Amino acid sequence: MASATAVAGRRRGSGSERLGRFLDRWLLPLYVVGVTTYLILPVAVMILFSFNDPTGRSNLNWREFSLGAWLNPLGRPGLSDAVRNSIVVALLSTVIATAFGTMIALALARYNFRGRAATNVLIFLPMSTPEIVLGASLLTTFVASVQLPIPEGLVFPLSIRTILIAHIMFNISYVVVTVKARLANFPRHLEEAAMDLGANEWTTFWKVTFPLILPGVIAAALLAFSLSIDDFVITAFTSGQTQTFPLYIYGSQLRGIPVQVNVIGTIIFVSAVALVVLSTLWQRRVAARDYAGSVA
Amino acid sequence: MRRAIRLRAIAPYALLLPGLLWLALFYVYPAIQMFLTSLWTGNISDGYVQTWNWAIYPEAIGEYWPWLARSIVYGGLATVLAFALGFPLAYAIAFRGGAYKNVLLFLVIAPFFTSFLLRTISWKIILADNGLLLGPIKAAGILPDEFRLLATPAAVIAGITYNFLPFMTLPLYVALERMDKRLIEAAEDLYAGPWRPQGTIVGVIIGGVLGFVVGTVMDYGALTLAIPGAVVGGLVGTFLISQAFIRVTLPLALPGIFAGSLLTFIPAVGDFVNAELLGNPQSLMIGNVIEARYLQVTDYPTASALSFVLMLAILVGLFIYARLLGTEDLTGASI
Amino acid sequence: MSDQPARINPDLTRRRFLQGTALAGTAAFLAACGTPAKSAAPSAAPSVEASAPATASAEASAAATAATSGDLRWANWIGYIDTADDGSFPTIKKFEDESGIKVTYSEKIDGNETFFTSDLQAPLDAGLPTEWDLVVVTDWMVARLARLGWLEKIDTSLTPNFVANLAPNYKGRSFDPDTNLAAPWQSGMTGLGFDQKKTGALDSLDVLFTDKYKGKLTYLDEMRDTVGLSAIRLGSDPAALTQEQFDAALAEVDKAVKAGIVRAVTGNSYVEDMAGGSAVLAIAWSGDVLGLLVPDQKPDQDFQWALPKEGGMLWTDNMVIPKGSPNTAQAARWIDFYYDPTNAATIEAYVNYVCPVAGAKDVMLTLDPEIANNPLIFPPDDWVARLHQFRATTAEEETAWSEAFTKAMGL
Repeated sequence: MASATAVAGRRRGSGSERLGRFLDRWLLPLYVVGVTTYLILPVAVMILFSFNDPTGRSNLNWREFSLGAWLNPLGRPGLSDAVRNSIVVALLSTVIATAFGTMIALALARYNFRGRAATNVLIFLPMSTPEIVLGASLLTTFVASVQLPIPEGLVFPLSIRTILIAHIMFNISYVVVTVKARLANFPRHLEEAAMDLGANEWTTFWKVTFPLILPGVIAAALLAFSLSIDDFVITAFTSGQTQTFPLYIYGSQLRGIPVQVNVIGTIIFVSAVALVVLSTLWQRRVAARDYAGSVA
Repeated sequence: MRRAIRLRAIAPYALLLPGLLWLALFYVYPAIQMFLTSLWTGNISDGYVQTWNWAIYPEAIGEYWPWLARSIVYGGLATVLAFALGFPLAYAIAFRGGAYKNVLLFLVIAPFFTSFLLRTISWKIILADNGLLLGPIKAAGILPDEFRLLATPAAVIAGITYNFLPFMTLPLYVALERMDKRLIEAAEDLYAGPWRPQGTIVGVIIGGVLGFVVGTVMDYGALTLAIPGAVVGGLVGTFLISQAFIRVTLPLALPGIFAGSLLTFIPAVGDFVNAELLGNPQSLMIGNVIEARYLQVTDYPTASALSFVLMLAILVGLFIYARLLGTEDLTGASI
Repeated sequence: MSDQPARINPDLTRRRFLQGTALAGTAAFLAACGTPAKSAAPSAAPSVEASAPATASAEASAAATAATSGDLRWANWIGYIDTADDGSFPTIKKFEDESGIKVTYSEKIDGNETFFTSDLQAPLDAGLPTEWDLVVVTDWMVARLARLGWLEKIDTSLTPNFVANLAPNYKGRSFDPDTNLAAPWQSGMTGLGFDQKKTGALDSLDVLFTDKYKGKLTYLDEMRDTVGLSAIRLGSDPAALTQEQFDAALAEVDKAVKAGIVRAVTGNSYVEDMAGGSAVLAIAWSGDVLGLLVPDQKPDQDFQWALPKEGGMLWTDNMVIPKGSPNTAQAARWIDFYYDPTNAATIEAYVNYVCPVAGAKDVMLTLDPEIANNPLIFPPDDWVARLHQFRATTAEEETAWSEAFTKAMGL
């Protein structure tokens, strides 16, 4: 509203202002359309090629429309196992890393304590370490663990557990950073008010703090999920016999990517879209309810 | 009361414990092992011995500094490009998004929901010499048959820019969105409005020259980079050379700029997939060297040493950058 | 140098004599499998086991069953075994039914070095068993594993088919003198892959090193393939390469890369580059053009694979048993199963590489004569004479050469 008035107020402006309005009205939207197209184009190509009926084993040139792969999306050996493993690891690592990361973010944002700066650096380090280094060093550690008094099967032999350990590790930092951003301008007086009214720390957290940081936590969880389900390099080192979807894609790239990979890619994409839409709608409803509550 | 105080003293450590323990066990401890690996001597067949061979660091840097430098240049260019592309986008979504705000935001993060391997393969399909994009243009005789986009340094930089553009745009959006719009309107009224044609002109010139220089230095046709450079420069200039922008919007967006450029630059410098899939033998980066040393030559000490050099370089750069922008907190505002 | 005739690998000369059906009908094979063979020529195979009586096989399987309880955990490359439309593996199913051994089959391997680093090196170095009982790796990786002592011997008393039907040119290879460490799985040839529409027919290696197709040609990131072809062009034999010959061959490669003649150095992804028109010429593997680009091979198709007139490289992927595997008998049982020509032919009809099992061609003639007569799967004698294997390297050479090669590749 305010900007509409401002534009109206400047209607009889100088030449440069008219140019500004022109840019504002036409160039900026055009630009936004251009950049978003650029961002979406490869995804669109992936979806398009899930309907291809390729010659040979590689799916690189458009030949003709076919629903073949869609009717049999898991019809490749090992593909369903790979997809299932990816989803299990992504879900578990998201839940655990989001819990751990949110706790760290709370500690960093709310308390002044000795070692705060060091913690900040420690959170940052995994994000600034090349993935291949993370994977290789974890592998060495897992193997060396046999000399330690650790029950066999926990971290060695390599299994879906070791993938999970690695994914939680690299996800923690991203969760911390995301949730902390949400805590940066957090209305502390609400918590203080609750405490003044006699709520203990636990109640205050769940009734006041948590709902307020929830959008940040959800954003962090979404980020963690997408990082986990897409990870290739670290997983390759920590997987042992276990296959995941990215490992499957990379492996099949060597001998021709089956159309089914595009189908699964499309399904994951569409599910993620649905998830985001749902969480947005839900947040809106919560916001509306809160608003109604405060009005009443 | 005393109990409450003690609780407040313990609380942060209790909150930190599980996460930091995890990082200590599965990041710090492996990293130390990796560091010790860099001081080994030997080879894969005869085995490695811990010899505290510190000389490997000067040797590795002496031999591989060109790749390190190239990675920093590519990562830096990709960060600047992502900023140039992402800022207007974030600005448009935050201030002019209106009813489309959520849709647009979603489009920005949408690529994340697709495997990056699949995305990069898609780019290869799109940009192939006779692919979806160039095929028709060449058939129409507009471009010569030898013209190519893939297997060039520009393709590598564009690929990295593409991969990390959402990482840049989101923090920028968050920072801009938080801003009090009345402040900007006041500034626009106070100064000369949101746009200035001078900005466009200056931007076109600077962008064009920058593109020309980079294109010439990287031996990749001066004009092919100068033209997009001029376009991008024009757009950036249009924004930048505005008093309201420089005095109000930009300073307030600084935390977003800081977070966005870090989230782009750090993974960009260590990236090897784009250089491998989209580049040529003259455009390989330090990540490729580490990968090859690790997986092809099985020279673990050099691979580890280079990894540590890379981490250290990134950290040092980070601290300088943080000082320059005046952000004391490394993990400051983000996404 | 190039006018000097290439030295012929003695192994390959032997192979030429014994190529095709000659070995198909050893007594043991006939007795054990009952598969009809066209030729009953006596075997030239030296091993004692070759003449093992028919009962050997039955005894062997009894012993194997007795000694086995665990699953066979097998890691292979993707798309490297026959696969049904529903995603199951018919030949593995058949093996499970016949032997009672359950197979955990994984298509996990996507590169020799990657797999070595991610799955083999760490546990074996620590003296531990790996996760696998059987893995498929290329010759030179077998050589490395053998040198490190990281392989279990194949109990050849359990594998009469392997002993009898292994094509002779694979016997007594330098890294496996007693032929009991590695059982060949598939071989492939390295030569020229090109887009006939753009380049016309090609048959000389020279075209890889001149700027006629500058920016439109790719090299392979496997040192033995790329340097091997360069050496052949210079008249050296990769099977007996000296340091000087290696240096000369690598210098040619280096020059071409530095001059920008080479668009990219790739693994299998050159197939994409060719399909998208980005590359018109590549150092290529025989099975790729056949399997990936054009499954229904026609003489006039655009994408062609040619064995250069100077010669090409032959490489082999082998089944090996990593040290410490608790299920070596199960692995041996599978190897024996694969070396039954009927089973080998069934797999071959799907994977389209060069088959190491003598007698498979005969079976294939009855199954699908078109495949049996495809030179890319069963190379004719004059091709075999032009194929070279890269020699086994010492540990020092392996490190130094692969380092020099990665340098030339821009790393």
